[in-house]
Amino acid sequence: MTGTDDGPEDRARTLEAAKTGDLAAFERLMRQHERLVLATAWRLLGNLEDAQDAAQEVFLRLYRNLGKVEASKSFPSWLYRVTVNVCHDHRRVRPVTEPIDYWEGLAAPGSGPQEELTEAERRRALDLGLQRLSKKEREALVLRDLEGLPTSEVARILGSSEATVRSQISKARLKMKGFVEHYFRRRS
Amino acid sequence: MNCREWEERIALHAGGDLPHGEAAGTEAHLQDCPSCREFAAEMGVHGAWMREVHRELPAAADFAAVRAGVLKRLERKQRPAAWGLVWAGGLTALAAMFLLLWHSSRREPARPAPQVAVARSPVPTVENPLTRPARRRHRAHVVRPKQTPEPLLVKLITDDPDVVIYLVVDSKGD
Repeated sequence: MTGTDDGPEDRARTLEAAKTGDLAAFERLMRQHERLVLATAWRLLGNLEDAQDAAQEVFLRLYRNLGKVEASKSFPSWLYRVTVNVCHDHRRVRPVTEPIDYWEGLAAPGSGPQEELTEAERRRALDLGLQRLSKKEREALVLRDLEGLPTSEVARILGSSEATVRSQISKARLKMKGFVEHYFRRRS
Repeated sequence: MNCREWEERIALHAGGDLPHGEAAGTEAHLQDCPSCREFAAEMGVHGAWMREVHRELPAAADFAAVRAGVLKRLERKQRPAAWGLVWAGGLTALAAMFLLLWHSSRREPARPAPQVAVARSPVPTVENPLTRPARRRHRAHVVRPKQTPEPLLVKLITDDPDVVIYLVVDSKGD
C-alpha cells in the first residue's frame, strides 16, 4: 500500500520524528505513503497532473495534522480518507471534462485487452472507464478493487454502510466491464 | 430470476463480496447456467486486468515532483515566520518613530523661563583727593569714603543669546 518497504516500527519512528518538525523525516514519511496517495488520486481524478496537485494537498494536510495522527493501523485509512476528500474538492473546483472523442488516439487494432496493448493505452482505457462512473461508484471501486481494501474499511473511509458500498461496487464493476469491452471492440 | 438479474450478484461474487448465504446461492446458479458461468469468468478476467493496470505506477520522477512541491511549500511557509517577525519589528519601530515625530510637531515648544541673575556691581574704590597724608605728629586721620549702598544690578537673560538686559536699581529703588 505504501511507497517503501519500511516496517511498521520504521514508519512509527519516522512519524514521530516528523512530528518534531524534522522536514527530512517528513520527506521519508511521504516516500513511505506516496504510492497510496498518488496512485489513488490518479485513479480518482483520471489524469496524473491533477493527481500530483491533489497528492501535494494531501501531504500538506498530513503535515498540518501531524499532531493528531497516530502511527497505527488506522493511519493508512486516514490517508485514504483525506485523499478521497481532496480529490472530491479538486473535481468540484476543476470538473473533469470528458473528451469529445475518447476513442481518439487508439493504437493499431489488436486482438483483445490482454494483448499487444501499450501501457499508456491500457491506462487510458481504465481511466476513461472510471471517469464514466458516478463519484461514489468510482471511489468504492478504486478503494475496493484497485487498492484492495476490505469492503468494511471502504465503508468506513467513505462514511457509508457496507450494503451501500457493495451495491456501488457491483454497479461499478458491471459498468467498467461494459465500457472496457466496448473500448476494445471499437479498437479492433 | 433471469440471468440479467444475476449479473449484480455475480459481479460481487467475482470479487468475493457476497455474504456467505448469497454466495452459496450464486454458486448453485452458476453450476446450472453456462452463460452466467461465462459471464462470471469474464468478470474475473476483467477484475484481474484492472488490478494489473493499476499496478503500473507513475514514474519515479512523478513521485519526486510531488515531494519536491510539498517541501518547497513547507519551506516557504516556515520562512515567512522568521521574516514576518523582522518585518513586524521594523514596522512597529517605524510607526513608533512616526507617532513621536507627529506628536512633537503638534506640541508648542515650551519657552524657557527667563533666568534672572543678580549681579553685584564691583565696589568702587574712590580715592578722596582731600585726604592728605597724615603728619607724623598728629594722629592720622583717614577719611574713609562714605559707604553708599550698592546699586542692584539685575541681569535678564532672554531667549536670544545675543540680547541680555541689565537693570540697574539704586538704593532708593529708582
